Amino acid sequence: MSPKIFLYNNGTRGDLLFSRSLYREVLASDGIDAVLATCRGDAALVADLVDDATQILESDYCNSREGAVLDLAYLQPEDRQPVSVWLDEFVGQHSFLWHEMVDLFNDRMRELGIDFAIQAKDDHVPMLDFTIPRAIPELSKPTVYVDTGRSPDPLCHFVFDLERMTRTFPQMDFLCTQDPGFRSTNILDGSSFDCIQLSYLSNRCELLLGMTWDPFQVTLTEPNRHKPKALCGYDARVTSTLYDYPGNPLELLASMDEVMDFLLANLWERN
Amino acid sequence: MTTCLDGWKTLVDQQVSRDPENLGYGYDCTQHAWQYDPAIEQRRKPFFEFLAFIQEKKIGGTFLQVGLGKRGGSHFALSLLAERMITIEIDAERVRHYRQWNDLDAQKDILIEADSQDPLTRDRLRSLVESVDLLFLDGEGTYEGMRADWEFYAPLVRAGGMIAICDRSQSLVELPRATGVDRFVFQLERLHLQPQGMQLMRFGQDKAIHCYLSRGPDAHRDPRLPEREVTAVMAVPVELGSHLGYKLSGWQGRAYAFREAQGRLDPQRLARHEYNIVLVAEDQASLVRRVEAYESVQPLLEKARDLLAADQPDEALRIGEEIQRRFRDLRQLLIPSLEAEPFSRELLLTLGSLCIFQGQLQEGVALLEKSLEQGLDDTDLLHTLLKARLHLLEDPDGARGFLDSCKRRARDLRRSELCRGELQDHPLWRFPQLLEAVEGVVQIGTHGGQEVEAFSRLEIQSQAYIEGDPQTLARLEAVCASMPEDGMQRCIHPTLLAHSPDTRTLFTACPNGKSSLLELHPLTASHYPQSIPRSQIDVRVETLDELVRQGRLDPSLYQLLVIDTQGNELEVLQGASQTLGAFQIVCVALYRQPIYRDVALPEEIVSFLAEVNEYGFSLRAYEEDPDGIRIHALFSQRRVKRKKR
Repeated sequence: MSPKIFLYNNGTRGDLLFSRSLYREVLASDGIDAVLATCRGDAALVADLVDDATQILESDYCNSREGAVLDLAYLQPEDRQPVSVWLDEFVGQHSFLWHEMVDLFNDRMRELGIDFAIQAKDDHVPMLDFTIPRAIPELSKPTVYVDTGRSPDPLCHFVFDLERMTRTFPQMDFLCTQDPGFRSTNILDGSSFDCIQLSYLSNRCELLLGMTWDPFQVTLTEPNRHKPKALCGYDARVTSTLYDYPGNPLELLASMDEVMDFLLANLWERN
Repeated sequence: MTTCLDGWKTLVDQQVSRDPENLGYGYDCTQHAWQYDPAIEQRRKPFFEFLAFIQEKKIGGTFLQVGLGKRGGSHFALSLLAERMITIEIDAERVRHYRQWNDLDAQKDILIEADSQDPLTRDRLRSLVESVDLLFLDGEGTYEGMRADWEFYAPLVRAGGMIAICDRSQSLVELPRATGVDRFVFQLERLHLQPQGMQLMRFGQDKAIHCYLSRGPDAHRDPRLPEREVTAVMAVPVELGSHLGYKLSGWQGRAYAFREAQGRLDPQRLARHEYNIVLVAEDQASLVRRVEAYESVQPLLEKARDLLAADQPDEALRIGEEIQRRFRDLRQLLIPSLEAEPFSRELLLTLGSLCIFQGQLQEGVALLEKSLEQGLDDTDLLHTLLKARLHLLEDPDGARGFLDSCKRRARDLRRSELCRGELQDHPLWRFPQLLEAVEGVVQIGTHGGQEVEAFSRLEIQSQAYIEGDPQTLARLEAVCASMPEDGMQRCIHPTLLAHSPDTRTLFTACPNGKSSLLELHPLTASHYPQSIPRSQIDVRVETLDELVRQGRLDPSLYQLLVIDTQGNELEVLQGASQTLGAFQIVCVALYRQPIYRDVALPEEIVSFLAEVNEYGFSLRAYEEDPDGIRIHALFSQRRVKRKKR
């Protein structure tokens, strides 16, 4: 009989999204019987990873900007061993690299005496793609994905100059993930879409811009793996790249001028 | 009256820890998630950078602040650099409180209790001053409020004076576009400052202070800002009355109740978890019923907890049955309230008790433990939890484990209080959380015993001191000998460490009492006469790895390594590369300036530690010495392996 584990992440919704690839690897493996736990409303974010035989235990308490309102460990079934995959429990140690997530998980397996490990290949970092069916609109023009949402991050400060962007690139549409508060013929308001829909929409965009890693990580998909992308508002000298992978084209841009240069460099053919 | 650069830093740090109960404690960045009560509502590093910038630009004279803040710490800090400090604050209670708990200079400290937007306030201000040298806007944290204050007061700033705007909008992510100070600053810079050649500086990130040097009143006439924006997405809370000692408010389609003593509903305070308790419902009528149910259930819960603590679980469960009968849905109805204030101790206690006595034991215990995390002084709650594990969960091992963790936590809290309150002069004490689980320390390079008392008071059981300078060693031995019999293991290794065994020259007998294996740099020697050695002796040096190999030091006893060896810290680390993996925390003195010949750059030490073994050490924190020469850096060992390159 396979060892039984209880997988959970007490982090924010963004932390949970980063764990998708780990969950996928574990659930797809033989030799382990896993049950997942999530906060209320988050089960949908991992529902595509489980089959009919795998249970997702959903707490009555929602997620918050500090993470799970109540430690999900209370949902642990008696016959299962608890495995927390929240990297923030190892305060200040992580940068959400794939191999770190795998190492921590494998360490935990060893601590529990479970003969199971995930193999992380150095040259391949899996993406976080969703496979949950969701309806999304067609994009009529080449579109730039602009994640105008953010999460608390003491390293990031930025305000998008959407007027400048839309004026300089009239041939592009700019899909904003939150109500931009600014109206223009080439601004698309994406505030009514959920994160899965936004992930699918980002797959159809030419270029990706965001501020903080959470919620930008929904763009970590196979179609977006090598697309031009940038996070804005960070000092590249003191900021590490979360979920880095070979050939990652992500740039860290500090100012609106740098953003405009980035757009010009990557969209010049269309200008 | 200005104070020298280093002096005011110390004064501000002292002020923010002087009286936590009445003046708040610390800075915005040093708060617990469950309690927001800083002495200064700014992050320490950007705030100090801002104050240093004021000094650098030689801005003195009259400072005007709009918004005293909860505890007034910024008024105090700015007043250290000003000849006259004026603050306008609309909240009379805040002004009264600040006056009560601070020694104000009647000539220097002027508190104006008024609405900053009232024209009479500006008139009153004009009767006091013609112009100000610095304007610090920290009032209402919204686009409209900040813009109004800026339009009102920016023309008062003289040419060459400074205007600063506090911006917390990018940290309040639950309130998108509802604060909007960042949008105001963005418009100000793009439409008003840049066309006039005024450059905006920013200190901090998601909580920032933006500032620029003014070109005088004329530069602020007719600012080219857009028409006032329509009020942002978030509506203003509406007061709905009171009930049973709770104030009721409506906001964004929900009704909120909170204790009357907490003032009015402020979405920004809600986002910072400043309310002791908040009850949430879909509408006013539901809220009233919820308040009544919440208050009615308290005596029953208290009685049930008392019975459980008195080892009468059956009687406690009978009360639980009554609670279940009368308040069947209350648990479900209180969940949104906990989600609004996830750290409310009272709500955690209530919900946790409801769950326990209604049969959801694991959930109830988890909720009560979360409440207990905020303070182990609640012995009643501690008893309830222990008894719940023993009698209801029937888990004596769990109860024992819980008690052990509480003891560890209590010890860590004692250490934190000691670090905050009594220990001085070392950055290690600023980060007590890094000392959790430290049972042993190795200190290489001592200061003649100053550390011994500190480590002993922190109950660090195993202490090893490595010191080779004869004079310092003698003082150290005397201090250790004078320590009482406290069961702690102290040992002294009279040796000097480097990267390999050798014979070296020790430069000693400096006026400051320190010695070094490195020669003082000839270009800097004249600047640091206190470090000029008066004699030198030949000494044998060895390595930490060698001490371990010879069995003279057992690294398994120690988790903390402190190295302060006057310039040869990198050599010591290189000679400890096999042993470093045993330590969780490494505290190293780094040199920003090459006062010693061949002293390692800080980057070299950071790189060495990052790659010393398959895990490496990450830089966690650092603190500069007041003289700006040295940095004390704290590293902790990574718990995941580095990627092989």
